[in-house]
Amino acid sequence: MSTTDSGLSTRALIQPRRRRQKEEMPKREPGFHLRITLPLIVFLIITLVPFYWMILFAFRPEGSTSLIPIPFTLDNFVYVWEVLGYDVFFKNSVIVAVLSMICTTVISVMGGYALARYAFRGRGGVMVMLLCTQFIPGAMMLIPLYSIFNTLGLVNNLWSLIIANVVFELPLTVILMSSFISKIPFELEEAAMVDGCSRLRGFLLIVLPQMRPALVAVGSFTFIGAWNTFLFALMFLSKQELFTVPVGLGYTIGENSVQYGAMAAGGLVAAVPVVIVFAFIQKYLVQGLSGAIKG
Amino acid sequence: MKLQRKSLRTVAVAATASMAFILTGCLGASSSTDGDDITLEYWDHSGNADEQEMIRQILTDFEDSHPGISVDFLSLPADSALQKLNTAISSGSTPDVSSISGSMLSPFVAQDALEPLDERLADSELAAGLDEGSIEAVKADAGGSLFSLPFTIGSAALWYRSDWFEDAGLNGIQTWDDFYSAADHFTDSEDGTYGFTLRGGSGGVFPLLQYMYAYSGVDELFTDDGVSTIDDQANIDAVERYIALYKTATPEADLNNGFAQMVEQFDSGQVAMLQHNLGSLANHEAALPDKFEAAMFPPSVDGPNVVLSDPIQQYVMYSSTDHPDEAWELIEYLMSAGVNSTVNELKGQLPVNLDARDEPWVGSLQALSAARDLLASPDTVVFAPPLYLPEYSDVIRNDMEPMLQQLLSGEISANDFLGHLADALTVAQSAYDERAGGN
Amino acid sequence: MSAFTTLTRAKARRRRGSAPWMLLLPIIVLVAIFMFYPVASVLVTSFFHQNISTPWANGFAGLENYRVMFFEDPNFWPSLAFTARWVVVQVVLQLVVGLVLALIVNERFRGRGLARALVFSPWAISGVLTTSIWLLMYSPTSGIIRLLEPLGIDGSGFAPLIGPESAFWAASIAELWRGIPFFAILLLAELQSVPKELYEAASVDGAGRIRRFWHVTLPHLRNVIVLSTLLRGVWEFNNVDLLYTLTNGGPGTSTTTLPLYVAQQATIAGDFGYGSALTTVTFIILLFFSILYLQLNRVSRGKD
Repeated sequence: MSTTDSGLSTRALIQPRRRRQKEEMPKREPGFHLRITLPLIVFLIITLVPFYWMILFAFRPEGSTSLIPIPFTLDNFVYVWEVLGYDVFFKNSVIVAVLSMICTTVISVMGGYALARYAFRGRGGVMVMLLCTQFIPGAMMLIPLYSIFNTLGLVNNLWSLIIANVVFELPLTVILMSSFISKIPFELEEAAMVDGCSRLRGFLLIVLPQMRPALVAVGSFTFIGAWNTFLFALMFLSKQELFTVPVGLGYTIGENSVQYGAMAAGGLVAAVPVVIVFAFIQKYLVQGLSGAIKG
Repeated sequence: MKLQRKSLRTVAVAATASMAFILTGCLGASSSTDGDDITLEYWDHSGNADEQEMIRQILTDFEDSHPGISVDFLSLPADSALQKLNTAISSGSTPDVSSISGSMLSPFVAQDALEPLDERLADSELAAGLDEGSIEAVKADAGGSLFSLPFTIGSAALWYRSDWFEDAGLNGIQTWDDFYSAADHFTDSEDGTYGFTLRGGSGGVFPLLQYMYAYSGVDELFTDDGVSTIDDQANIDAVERYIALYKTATPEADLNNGFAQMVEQFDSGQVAMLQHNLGSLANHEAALPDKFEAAMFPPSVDGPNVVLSDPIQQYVMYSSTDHPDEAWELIEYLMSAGVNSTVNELKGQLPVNLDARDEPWVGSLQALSAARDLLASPDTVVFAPPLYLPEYSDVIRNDMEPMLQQLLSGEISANDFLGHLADALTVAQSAYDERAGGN
Repeated sequence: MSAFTTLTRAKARRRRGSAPWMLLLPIIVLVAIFMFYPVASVLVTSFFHQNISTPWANGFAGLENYRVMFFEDPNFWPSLAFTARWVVVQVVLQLVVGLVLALIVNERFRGRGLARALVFSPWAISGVLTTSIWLLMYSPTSGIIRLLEPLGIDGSGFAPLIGPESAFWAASIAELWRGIPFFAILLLAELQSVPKELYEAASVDGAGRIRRFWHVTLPHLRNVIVLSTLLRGVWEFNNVDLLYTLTNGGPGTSTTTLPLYVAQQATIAGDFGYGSALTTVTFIILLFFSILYLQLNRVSRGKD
């Protein structure tokens, strides 16, 4: 076993990371554009065409058929906000999504750590049990789930949504966390413990920062999963002021007509903040292991 | 990071404690009665955003005129309303009153979810002021007793481009031959326009049946022996003529059309005629102002006008309610002339309250007054789809909708298609008669 | 190389203590309460006739539902076969394209942050909106075909949803659109854990880009690929909202997956007894294949 990194003290590892030097653009070797830029542009076009369609419907008057959003109108957004009552839905969605994200992340870090760092009987069983949560469509479990929540007094309470979201997101997140944690050399924690930290402190100070990409990935999955949950929101809540954004969007599909403009406007309002937040956090997705670990 | 000297064990305990917190949560109070105030829950099944404002206003007015009662309103998205209500019934968490669509009545009655209303209506002032035909229809759907009050009547219509017709010198759609020749006339594959558009996708079977009876003139769903008339020769001929329009006078993509696509094809100027109910009026007004009109189905080849009526929306009271008397007051209020008129005016459909029907706005809507006149005419034969047969909705949706697509693509014949449905309904009807006889 | 070993084999402590179980306690409690009862309830219901609209026929049915399913139902086996096809196509394509995307946005270039956010953005869109937008885009009259109008291309006859094959691919494209970001995000995060030194060492050894990818990157991603494809496969199996909206299983029944069939039978038609039987069979199939899949891939945790 290599002991090379025992030469570094724990202290060095928890120094605040120096500001990353401004990235120099690498010299573009021939074929870069062919390999990278071209496919990327193709992907972007394919990805963005549906968005353009949404923008088209959102910003042009209901019933218009022009190919570009001229005449331009904000009526759909006003409609969605005032008539549909979107502001309330938005607030509820934020509450549910944030709380789901926090709970899921904490629980899955704990579980992932257990699965990654310990060998114990029943480990496989836990994994399979987690997977089992994914095997039955939510729609089939509505009535039993509803009665459980009813017994717990959680019907008409946003916590029922939060719990349901957490339970259904856990398999993915726990597995992700455990996979990620298992990649982080235990030597780091050992080094910290040698230095006098408790195991927990070693974990919090050393391992957690290394896990930023996983935390970001898990956080964003659970946030978005919770943000977009429709069925549970509709079924477990019976007060309109508790409904979330997807249910609100559901109102635009009527019995005899669909209000595409309102739906697109509402959908954009729901999606754009998420995308913007993503733009800001995506760099955390790729901060790699500290460069201090060298062979 | 905070440096805390907690051991792993403590953290685990804290985690469990927070779990317990999560599980018990902040207990939300369900609708309770505080003091003397009674709170009713009213759910609307059609989830129409435009109507929500109106309904809230109506409920506020009700509260004002009925002190001591307050009403909580919940609007359900139309797509999932049935699922929500079924879940509520299964878990015992139904509201006091709700609106429902025609196809929900029979299953709800079968689940014993609804409160019978015969006596209440008989004792009420409303009794004489409501359209008898629709009351009888909902009673039949529920197996003979009254479990709901209908409040709005829709109608199928042939929407057509009046501007195109005018240019072509055509005078509306007076006969079925007019219809077919117009479909032919306006189809110009070079231009990309078509005379008509079919609904081959979701929900397409019922409109086909409505057309079929209107064309053939067969005036009953079942013979006296309980045999379905759906595959009568006249009906087969009707369907064959209709199907022949596919791809010759309608776009090929119609195979997958739901109502949204069909309406959209009409509104974007691709087709000259559209068969859809009155509910799409608002769409047409937004997209084609002053360029369209609605015609009722022409008289059948036999002679009389035959109408297979649209399912009727109704108000129901759930048997789990704690406040049946107050719930009935709410229903009475909703069915009163003024309120019923307001509700229908926004929907663009025909009120069930007869006084409301005389309101001037009914006459001012071209499509609606045409519907009203048709239904009021003594020559018109009206009958309802067999919603009282529990198998009906299932067969239509699960068997006939896929088969409709096969019919359009030529894989099966009209004979096969109608025969399958007819057999299923005959069997269902005899099972129903047995149950009714055995009770 | 000792560095190699250090970096790739994190040691797990063999502790026979209660620590792992306590860490797992929240998960176990949550899953036990909120999954066990519903799953058991579905299983039990499958042995009953339970149809909302025909309550007089309700009652114990034994294996009747299963018998009908396996031997009499003309839709069961075809939908199962179609589901297999759907899942395999989706997972494979999503994985491959997602991986390529992750590799691309892993490179350094100006504007990569924005590129990343855009590439991941389909993930942020609500299911209701996704299905509706794609339905609109495939519309023959006002769909994306109209973008070709200015080019003078005639778009009539554009009807991707009416033929079984074209409907399959049309639905697939829509599903790919929103599923690829899932893999792209995961794999991008995972790519960070591959130490750069390995790439350098391999370069020094003369390996070109493809070989570096094959021998350095891919092995590192293996665990995550196995697990994410499994999870995604299960999700694609069970998730019906796109197919429901775009084709409703049509034309005819050619794009009906088994879970869509369950949805049509149970949640829409109200036949919960039969629907539960279908669901139980689904459960068993998925369980079986998951265990098989994991066994075959010997998913390691860095510690056997």
